[in-house]
Amino acid sequence: MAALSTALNLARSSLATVSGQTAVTSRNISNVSNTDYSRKSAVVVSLSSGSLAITGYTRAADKLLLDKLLGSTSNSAASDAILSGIQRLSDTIGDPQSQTSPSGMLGKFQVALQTYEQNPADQSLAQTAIQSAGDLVRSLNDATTAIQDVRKQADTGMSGSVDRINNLLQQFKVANDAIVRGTGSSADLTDSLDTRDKTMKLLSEEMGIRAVTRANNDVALYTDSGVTLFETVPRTVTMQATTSMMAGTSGNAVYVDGVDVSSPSSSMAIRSGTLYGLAKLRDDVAVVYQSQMDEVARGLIEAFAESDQSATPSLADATGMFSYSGSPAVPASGVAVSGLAGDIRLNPAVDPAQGGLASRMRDGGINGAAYSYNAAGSSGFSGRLSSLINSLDESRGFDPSTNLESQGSLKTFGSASSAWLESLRQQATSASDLQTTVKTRSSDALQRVNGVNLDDEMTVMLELERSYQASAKIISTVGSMLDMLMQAVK
Amino acid sequence: MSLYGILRTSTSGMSAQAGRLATVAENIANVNTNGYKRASTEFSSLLVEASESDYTSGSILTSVRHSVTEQGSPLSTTSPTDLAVKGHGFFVVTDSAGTPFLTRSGNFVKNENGELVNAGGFTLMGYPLTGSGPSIVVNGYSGLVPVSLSTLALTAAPSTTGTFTANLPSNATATPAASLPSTNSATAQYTGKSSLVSYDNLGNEVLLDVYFTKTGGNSWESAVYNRADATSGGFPYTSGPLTTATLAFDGTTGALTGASANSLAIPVPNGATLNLDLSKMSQLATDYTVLGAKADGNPPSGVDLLQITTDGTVYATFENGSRIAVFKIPLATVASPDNMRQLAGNVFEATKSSGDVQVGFADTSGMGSILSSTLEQSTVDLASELTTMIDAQRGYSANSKVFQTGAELMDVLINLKR
Repeated sequence: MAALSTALNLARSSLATVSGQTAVTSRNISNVSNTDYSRKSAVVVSLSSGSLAITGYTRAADKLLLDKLLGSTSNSAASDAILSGIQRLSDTIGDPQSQTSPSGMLGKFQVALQTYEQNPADQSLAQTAIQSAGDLVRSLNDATTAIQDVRKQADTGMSGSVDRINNLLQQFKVANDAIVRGTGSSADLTDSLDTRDKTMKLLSEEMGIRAVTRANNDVALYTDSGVTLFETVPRTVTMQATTSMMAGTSGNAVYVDGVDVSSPSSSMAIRSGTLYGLAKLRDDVAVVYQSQMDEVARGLIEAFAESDQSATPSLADATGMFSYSGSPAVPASGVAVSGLAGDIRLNPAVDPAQGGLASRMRDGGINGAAYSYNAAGSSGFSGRLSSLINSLDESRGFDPSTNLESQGSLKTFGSASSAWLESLRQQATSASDLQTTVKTRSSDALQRVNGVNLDDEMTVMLELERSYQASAKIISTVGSMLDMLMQAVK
Repeated sequence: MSLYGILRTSTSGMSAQAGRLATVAENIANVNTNGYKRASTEFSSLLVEASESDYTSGSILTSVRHSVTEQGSPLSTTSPTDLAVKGHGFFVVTDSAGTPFLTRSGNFVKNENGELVNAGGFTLMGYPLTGSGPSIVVNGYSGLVPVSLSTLALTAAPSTTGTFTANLPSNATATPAASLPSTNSATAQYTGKSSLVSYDNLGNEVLLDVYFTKTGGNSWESAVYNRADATSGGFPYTSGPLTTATLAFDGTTGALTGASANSLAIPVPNGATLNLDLSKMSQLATDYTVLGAKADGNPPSGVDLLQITTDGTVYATFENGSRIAVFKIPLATVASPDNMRQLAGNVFEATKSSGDVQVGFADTSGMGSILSSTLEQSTVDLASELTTMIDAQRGYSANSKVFQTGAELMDVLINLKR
């Protein structure tokens, strides 16, 4: 066999291989801080008679760790979405320590009423009590706006998330098609594989996904509940955004491949990801909190309602200083009226700013003379005021859909509502902390397996340099041997 | 007359060395010709009948040999249509007139007709794999056609086989018969649903909705609908289920019972019957989990990539990623490859002394294997050629010296008479 020529060819193939490997190493080094990059290496195969060739490229990857990271990313995204919504609710309305929360306002109002009760003839104290009642009403109205704002933002967030999912699925198809096409050939697919993994990581932030690998490294994606998300082609994910969100408006469900995945009643509802967190916020947490506010409003209307004071009462009870759009009918006891907290008003008949008389608070008779408690017209009458103050502490029934005790006083109900939100916030915070830790751990673990280690790359580079030098040396040696032969030919 | 014999012998020696030098020249010229097989000159002596006392020198006979069986070293390239044979086989190629030859030069590229043509202008032949398998004639070239990729463009294949593997949640609540998906009522309920892409005869994508619904203990109904008939993505469909089946699971193992249906024969609209294998379905106490789903078939698309495996199968990869085997490249050999006649363009022709051509496939019975993205280098070694050259030069000079001496002796002889 042709020895010198073979030596030259071998050295040449070695040079080509080493330069190819150096290119891979430099690619690794330049991506050292890219977390979506996985370490690449060239597959070097020795052909017969010892010559070398790069037949493909592989990358460090760990399917189990990636699956773990996808799962923890989804869980973390869900708890983050829930936490940020609850945090917003808590910041604006729910803080039990704050005097601006509805339950704080209720306390202030009771104090103002008590002061007025001590001196029923004092018009300025009546004025203060009215003021404080107005503040209470406003805080309930504001709470409704804030809650519906949070729901609206969640709804917008869900529709944004759906758009991102559709977009990511298109990108996923491009990368997946390239991989399926190239598998089995010597084409360098490592970048497409990286892109596909990155797309999967981004998708898992939006919703929980499960990847199933098929022949030719083809990947099919399913939601964590088993609905087809991508199989050869992307499935459509749709959601109709709600333009204006009001109490009692239920947002539209998210459909993946024609299956409802966001309603808790659906048999294939997703269980993690931003989409899940936002849906829970929109359809569960905020709705329950709104019903609690509604019950506070209904309790107020009920407590301050007037009854017929005639010797033989014939008229129905009517709303007193707190009214709403359904006035003068008093809403049924123990049944939440959707959106009542946004609807509650200070009765114009008692509000001097709207042409009413503040003294009606003391005397009653807002709905006519039959309802007057102070028939004698005494300026020192305090009977009605004390019964009003007591009614705030009286036990009454509340709707069980509020997830709170269905029996209790209005005041305890108000503070229980604040405590409920606060405990939810704490649960969400600790869940979010936990999920973030798990996510960081799995991300770190994956990074350790497929990330670029600069020390390793440097060592590899030194080895490659030596190998290149040696091959170059062989070429020059064989060259001078052939030169010697040439000189022998005269 | 031995003096003339000396002159004749040395002349034949010189011409033999010149012939040897000619093969060296050819070898050196082809030092980088892929698939070239080194030529060498062999000598044999021709003796004249002579008595012991009167010796008449003979002359020398040369014969040129090509070391056809010698394997050249492989050189890797970046083109998948660069082919090399590792072993004793030869590619079957034809010239423009259609005459078949054998060659080892595998530097094929696609020409304007999509055929693979090597640097010598010869077209690679292969057996088409579409339809029934290749009809191979062992001792002839019939059935071979040029390996052409242009004829492959835009082919579609309907889905015929597929698999679907999933776990069905054993603890799911059973759905009453009136609202099973098979009833196609607007209020139909189901436990799990997945969709699967299949293709009809013309390569249209047909999305199949596969429903699994628990009907009772260990008993499930599977129903398949055509997504195109759906009303806003779900029930009711404008036409009934394509097929339904009842799956019965073993309460102990969670696997399908022997008597249960284990596949779905789905008549794909305008397509073939897709036989969906369900035999690996399970019913265990966990969520509805799809473990694998796939249907074959491909939409009409052009060839994107070509792959050639070591057994010579040519795979066309279509733009949508599906891969089908389209040609099989045969290898041919003769009983004595070294005795084949080498012709221009690095091709060989079978001769009477080489034996008849036998056609077979790579990776079988001593044919060797086909390496893609590889070229077989020339077997010429420069060093040995240069040594041969020096040797031939010395031999030539020595012969000329003999001739000179013989001529001088003749002069002496002629000068005897003044």
